[in-house]
Amino acid sequence: MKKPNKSSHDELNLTKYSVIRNIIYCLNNTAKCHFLLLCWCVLKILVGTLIPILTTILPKTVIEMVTAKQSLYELIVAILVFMGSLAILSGADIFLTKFIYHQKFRMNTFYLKRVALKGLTTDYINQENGLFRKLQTESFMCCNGNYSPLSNIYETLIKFCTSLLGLSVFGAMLVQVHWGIIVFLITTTTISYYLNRKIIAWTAANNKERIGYQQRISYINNISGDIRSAKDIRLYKMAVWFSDIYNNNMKGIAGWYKRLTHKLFGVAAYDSGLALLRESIAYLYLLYLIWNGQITVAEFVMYLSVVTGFSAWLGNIFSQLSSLNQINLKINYFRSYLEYPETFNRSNGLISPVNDCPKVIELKNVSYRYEGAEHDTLQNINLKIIPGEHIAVVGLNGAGKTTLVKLICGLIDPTEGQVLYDGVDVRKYNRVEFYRLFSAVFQQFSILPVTIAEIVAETVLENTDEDRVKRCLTVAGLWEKIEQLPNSVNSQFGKTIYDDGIEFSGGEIQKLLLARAMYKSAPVMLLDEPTAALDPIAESMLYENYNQISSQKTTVFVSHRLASTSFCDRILLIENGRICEEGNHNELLKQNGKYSMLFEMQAKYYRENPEETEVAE
Amino acid sequence: MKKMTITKRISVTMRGFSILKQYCPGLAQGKAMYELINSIQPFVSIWFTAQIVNEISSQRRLKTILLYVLGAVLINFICALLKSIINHVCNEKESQMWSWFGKVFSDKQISLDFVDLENAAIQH
Repeated sequence: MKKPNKSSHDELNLTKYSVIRNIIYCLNNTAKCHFLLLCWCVLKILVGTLIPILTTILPKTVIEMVTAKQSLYELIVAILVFMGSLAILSGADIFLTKFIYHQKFRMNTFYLKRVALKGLTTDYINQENGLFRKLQTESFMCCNGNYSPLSNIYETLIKFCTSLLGLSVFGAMLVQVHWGIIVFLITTTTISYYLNRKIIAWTAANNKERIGYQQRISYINNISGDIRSAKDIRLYKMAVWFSDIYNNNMKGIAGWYKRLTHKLFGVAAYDSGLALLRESIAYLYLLYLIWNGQITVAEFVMYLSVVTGFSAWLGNIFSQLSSLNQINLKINYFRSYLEYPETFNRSNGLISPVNDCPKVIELKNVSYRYEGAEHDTLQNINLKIIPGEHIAVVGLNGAGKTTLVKLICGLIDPTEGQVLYDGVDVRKYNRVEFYRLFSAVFQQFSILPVTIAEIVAETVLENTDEDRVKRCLTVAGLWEKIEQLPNSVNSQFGKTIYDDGIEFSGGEIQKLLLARAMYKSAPVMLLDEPTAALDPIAESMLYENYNQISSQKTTVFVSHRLASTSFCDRILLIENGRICEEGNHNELLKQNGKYSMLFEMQAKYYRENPEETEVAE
Repeated sequence: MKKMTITKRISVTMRGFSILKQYCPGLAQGKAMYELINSIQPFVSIWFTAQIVNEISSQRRLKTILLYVLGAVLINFICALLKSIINHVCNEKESQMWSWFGKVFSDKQISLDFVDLENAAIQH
């Protein structure tokens, strides 16, 4: 399936649903998740329409009763009835506004859960796609918080329906005076709307500039308190530089708003002028009617309010339509994200062999090119890994080692060729089940702020085998540290959530990840630079325990330290996306090729005798 | 949590206003002016309408009525125009207010000693 790859948001290959379809989508979701919220919204529409109607009728009734010389008692009763109703309705209106605001949280959670689920279950390759990640950010913003578009749609629809209902009632009243008034009011309000649309269009066209300034400001705001950047900021004296950037961007924003305000002044003048015209004509026409005895004084007062109210309802309708259009664009981002195509097989795929014994892994003529890249990262790779074999993958930075590992475990599919597991193309397997075959330690990792035992077992505490956790931590070389903690394996990790959470160094985290991979005990183990952050003692201990870690398992060990790969059955040297040398450590040294050269370059720094180094050179 | 006394609240509010004045001069005054016009405008309309109704039901002098109509629409026009201008100016100032406050915070974070930045209590 062809996937969109344009970078600009406006040019995104979005799923485009109409406003009506997106409204129906939201209403359907609300009906499924929180039907009562819809009932409260309908009630709010009715209350919101009744209040201005009563406010308009009240003065007319009072004037009519006074001019008809009705008793004071009747007048007081009428006023009390009106005021009482208005008080109840206003109270209900305030209550419903707040109630709906809080009830919307359930819908936010509903939508946020869907965004999170999509992110957690999508094909890995989508997570590496720039467009997908942009849609992910937009989707999160679309439903995060009570002012997000998916949350605001309730208020917008309430205002729109209230205005529509109010407009119908006031329109019916004005028709009794003259239909021409309605045409006149619609014309002037429409002109106002189109003037305001110019501003909206200008804002949309120039928004990129403003967002740019704000993004740079937000970046500095975020980074100034970030402990990871704090050392560099101080040692390289970046504070003044940051301050200058901040001030320049503030000037940029100020200039942008000045231009906007300048445009708004013009529109405001036209808008107020149109309102002046509208009111003048309404006053004069109603005066003409009353002068000729066609309406009463009470009706004159009422119609004056109706004219103002009609224009307000109409203005609200236009304004809510424009809001709905903006919300629609955001909902289209949201739905495009949720409907982003998935290419991996899931429940419809083959079930992969589920036992502890590894099977043959074979790469046939495999090439891989990242999206947007001009060259293949891996080219025509042919590789057969027999069950239980220990393979080391070495090579310079950017040679394609990690890409090879990702291909083997099915995180990505080759652009050409096939990856076979047990003779079956990986594409045919149920990918979720297939991942059970692999334990992995990657350079980029994810650790949740939970207990150490839960991190190692990757499950909740009730399902954790504590003895196994201890064994894995011991082999990984972390048990000595963990057992000294007051809560041992039940200590919380990190200070993100828990104040008493423990922090680990880079090497300790790597040991923890190794323990996690061992606990999973999958038939294939993938270790991508697992010793990069370890001290020499820990590294040496890991090599000593390597057979225990990887007994009867297929392992793929990626490393820059060539000495660490000597215990592997086979070493692959990757260069420019190809396997350029292959064999065990001694065989490769004898070949006297690239591997031998790289090994000597590293080894000379470890030799005690400098002369030996020179001889080696 | 200890309840704040009224004098303390007033002093905190005043301090808040002085900070606001420092970073966004005119914002508080603009907002106050907007609310003043917004609350006066309906009473002006009501007063003129009442005069018109009074005139219609008593002496019915056309010139006087037209004068009241002119007064009502002109005052509404001026109020609408003023409100619109003040609103836009305030929005402009308000939009930059958070960025300025962000700068105060950012400057503080950057100038903190590294050891303080690592201190979880200060971070909280």
